[in-house]
Amino acid sequence: MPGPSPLNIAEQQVGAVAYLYGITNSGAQITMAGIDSFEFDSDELTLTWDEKQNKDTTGNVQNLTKTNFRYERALKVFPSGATRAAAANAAGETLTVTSVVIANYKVAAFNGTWRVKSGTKISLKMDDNAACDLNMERYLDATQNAALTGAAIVG
Amino acid sequence: MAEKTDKLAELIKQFRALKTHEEKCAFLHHADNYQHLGAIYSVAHYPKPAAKTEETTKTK
Repeated sequence: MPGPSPLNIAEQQVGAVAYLYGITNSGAQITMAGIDSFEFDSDELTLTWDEKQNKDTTGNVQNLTKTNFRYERALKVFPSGATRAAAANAAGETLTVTSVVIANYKVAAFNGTWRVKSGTKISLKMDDNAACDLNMERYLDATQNAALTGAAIVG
Repeated sequence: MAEKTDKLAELIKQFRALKTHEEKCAFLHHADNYQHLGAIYSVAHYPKPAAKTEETTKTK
């Protein structure tokens, strides 16, 4: 069941300011096409780009060329399900996805089509829940992102 | 965009309901499904099924 909790009990805050607490949705349940059954642990997003330093004749940087603006993301979830077998199946499925379509995060940058990068990991522990780590990226240029998250080329 | 997402969600639901690996491979690589599911699932995990050839030898 994707989302903060099936119970969906909102926290209460008292004070002069409000904080963004937890992993919150925009009003509808967060969905991840490709990864159906999980509980959130953490989700970190970083804005990054490639940077080329161009130097003048004295060796000092006089220009910076920035390309490939993108978000990089580290998502950690606990695979879940109505039964232990379903949870085990959900864990295995995380290894088979190459891109994920995510919707309904309150922080909009987390939404969109994400390419799953190398290094998807399942951690099994004797005294704790299994955890799945997915590293993903989403390019800010929509055309570029669509090209890199499309179906694999045939032939 | 919403239509595309609905179609994808429906296909993923059907894909997940399949019981065997072979069924999933065939479903993923079906011409109508590949443009959607091929972007989500790894073809390394779900390779394209080999084309069936007619049996040319028969046991007498």
